Amino acid sequence: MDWINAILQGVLVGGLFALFAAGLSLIFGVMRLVNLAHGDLIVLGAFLALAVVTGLGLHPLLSLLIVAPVMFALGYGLQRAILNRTLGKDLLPPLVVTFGLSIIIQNALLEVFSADTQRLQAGPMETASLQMGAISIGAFPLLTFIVAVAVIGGMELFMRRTALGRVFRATSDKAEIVPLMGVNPKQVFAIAMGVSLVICAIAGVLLGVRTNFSPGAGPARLLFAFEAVIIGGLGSLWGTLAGGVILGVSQAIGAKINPGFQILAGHIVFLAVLVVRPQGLFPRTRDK
Amino acid sequence: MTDAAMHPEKRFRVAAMTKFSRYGLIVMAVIVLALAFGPLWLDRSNMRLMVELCYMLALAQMWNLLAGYGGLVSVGQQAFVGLGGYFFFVIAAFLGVPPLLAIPLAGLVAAVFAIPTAAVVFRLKGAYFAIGTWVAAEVYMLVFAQIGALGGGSGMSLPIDVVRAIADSRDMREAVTYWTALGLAVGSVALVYGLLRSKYGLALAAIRDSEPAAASLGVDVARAKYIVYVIAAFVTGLAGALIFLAKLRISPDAAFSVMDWTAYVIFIVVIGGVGRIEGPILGTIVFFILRGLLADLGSFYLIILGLIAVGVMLLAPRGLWGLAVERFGIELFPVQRRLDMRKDN
Amino acid sequence: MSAAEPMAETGARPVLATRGLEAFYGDFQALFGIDFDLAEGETVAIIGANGAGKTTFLRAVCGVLATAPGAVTLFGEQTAGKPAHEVVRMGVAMTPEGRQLFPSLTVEENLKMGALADPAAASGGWVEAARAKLGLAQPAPAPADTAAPRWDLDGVYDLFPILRERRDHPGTALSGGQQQMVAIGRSLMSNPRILLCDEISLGLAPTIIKDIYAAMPEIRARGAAIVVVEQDIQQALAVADRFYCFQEGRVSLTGRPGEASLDDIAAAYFGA
Repeated sequence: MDWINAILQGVLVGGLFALFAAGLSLIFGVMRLVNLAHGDLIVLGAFLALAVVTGLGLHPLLSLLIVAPVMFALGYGLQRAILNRTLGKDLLPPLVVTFGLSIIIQNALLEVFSADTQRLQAGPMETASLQMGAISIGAFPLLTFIVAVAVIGGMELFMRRTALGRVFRATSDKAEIVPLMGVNPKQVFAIAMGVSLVICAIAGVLLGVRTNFSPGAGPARLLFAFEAVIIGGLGSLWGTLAGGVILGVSQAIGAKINPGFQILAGHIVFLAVLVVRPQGLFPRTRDK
Repeated sequence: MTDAAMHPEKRFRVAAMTKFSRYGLIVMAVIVLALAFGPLWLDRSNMRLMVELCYMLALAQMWNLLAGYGGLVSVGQQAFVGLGGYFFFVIAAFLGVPPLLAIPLAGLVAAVFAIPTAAVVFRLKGAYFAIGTWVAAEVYMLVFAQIGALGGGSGMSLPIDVVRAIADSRDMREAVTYWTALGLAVGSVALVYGLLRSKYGLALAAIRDSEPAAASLGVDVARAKYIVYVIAAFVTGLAGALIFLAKLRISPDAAFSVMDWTAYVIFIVVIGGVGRIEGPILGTIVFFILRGLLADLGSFYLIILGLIAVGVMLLAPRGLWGLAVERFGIELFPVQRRLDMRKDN
Repeated sequence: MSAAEPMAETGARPVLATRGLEAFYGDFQALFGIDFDLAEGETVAIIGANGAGKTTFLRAVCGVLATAPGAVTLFGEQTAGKPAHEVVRMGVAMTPEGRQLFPSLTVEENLKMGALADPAAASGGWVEAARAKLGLAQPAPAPADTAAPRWDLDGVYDLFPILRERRDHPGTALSGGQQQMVAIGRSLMSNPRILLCDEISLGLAPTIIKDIYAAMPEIRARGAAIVVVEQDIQQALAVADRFYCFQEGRVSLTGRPGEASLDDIAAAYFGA
């Protein structure tokens, strides 16, 4: 029963990993940008929520009403002011600039919030659980998973059914042809980054309620996001969810064997997928 | 008919050296010679600073070789610093090999580890390669944290008899460390210069400019990248061994620190100038000046460093040395060949 | 016709005029001072060998390549400094060489992408919402001939009925000719006043080419001026009111199809 419980926890945390991954995967799809600050932006979302929760006394989930628009604006502005200038044939500028942003965000958070670990207090839902025989499912981990599925399902619908989603897909296919449709690709990129940061905000709040976080927590989240994307296969949102779940279950099994193996087990499964099936399990985006 | 017209081969010659580079190299040689006598005229803290400067320069040269010439942007070079450092401890402390011999051996082990690492991370293209190298480094860190004989997560100190085996007196030990570091720095510059002046250099320059074009000219792009990756791992491993020889203590967090061994290194190369041998040299000097001026500011220092790197990348993507070349046309280590036309005949 | 008195023969106001247009790819100069006019409702062919600068000319006209001030005038307005997406929204549509459909979009979705560039789109719904979000919802000049029916999905499907059947297929799963129809339809969806067609017959079988060119009269009838770039001289001259022959980045001959002899054209084409 212990094992089933562990695997179930792994599945549920996998939803959170998929949320980390969804934003990373969206902007890679639309503009082929790999954002090394992605994990730090998730942690920034958690800290913004912390500020709103302590400042206004809101529930962490309600704080998203403020944090999500702020993160959208930040992403939009960041893309227009800085990241659009890094896009081109050379892959060094976006990597160096987003890596620099990662260091800047980490240290700015240190300066403002100190190195202390923090937690978002969500009240009774943190500890509530559903008991089914010997199996118990935490209410909050379950909620996290449901939110993750809803966000990914919503993204999928948005990409398939809306004009803006169509523009995202067209830009992903052929960004150089999009201007001929009267659309400014730089504007599309900025909106995509804004959407990516809204997902970061949601992921950040769920992360902050679930576990302790500190200014240095970003890079590990980036790696989990990246691993979920690669395991799932580039450009496939449901693949990303599967990738997140596989990563979560791997970590849970690793942790069950030996607490020191938790992260390592995830990395090793990722490397194994890379060796056996480098295109991921459910690839979609064609690599140009 | 002039003499030159009858002997066209006299009209021009292919040259790599320029007047500036010839004088520049002489000045550099004088500086290196003066530094070689450093233990005679540098105090202990400045000697330590120089050791640090030397290994950062070597790391920067290697990152520049990867990113600036091989088109391989890695954020996982801390893997090879850590491997070099840990295997230096293993070889010197557990196998009893003399420390100065253990350093090159540790570098070799790092290079050997680079082969399977490359086999995995090279499956990722472009920017995803960068994060892949980071995951690989994390894997090595987590594995070393599990090895009890090496102190697990808290690490270990270099046993006192190994420390004594370097040299008897503390002064001599520091001098030996200093010379090793200086040798590593000069060697890394010479290695990159030699590599770029060789036939391989042309292949690398072609890859840097356009991979498909290089491939169509018959350059084996994958092989060239592979070789560059392993060479960089070797020298990075040497630097790692030296770093933890100087520190006398190693732990997984310190050995595989992405901040210390990759972030700073990237900032150094970007600020100095990517894709030029002079870039890392200038960048290292600028980095240590900035650190001297701003390190007291703590996390603000890192914010400023990050802002400078981002600003340089956006406004002067070829770095400070690139600006100097554009403005004055100077080069210390010319790697392109130029045609010198003789104007008078 | 000299550049000094544009459109003297027709007396019409040019919708597109270039004067001394030059274009560069880095250090390489591709166009050397092109003077070109297109009147309202006119069809003009640009012919020339590979590398003559035909595609470059179209790219310069629609703002993909930067041009000097005064070099390109659309509807009486200079386009210098405008990015391509703004130039396109003035009422120019480009059917690019190689069709360039979006592979992950269906036929219908590809067509809808074209509608985003319509300066006077009034379809509402998601398209309008997206346009507003993208900052595209500015009022634009109304088409000159408001009586002509506007292009929409049904219009395009009536023009190319096969596309109606294939509307839910991925654009790139179609045959070459059908893909070309999608590409033209996508351009029409913006109700352009000028339609630029780059090598629309390239790689297609003669019967298919005939089908595609059969659509031209209807497109003209709805008020668009057309520029067709072709390597196939016969095909181009058959539909054009006037033609320009490009050679190595310069206009080597211009006139009406009936006026120039085939020898003259061959000389201008190949540079005898």
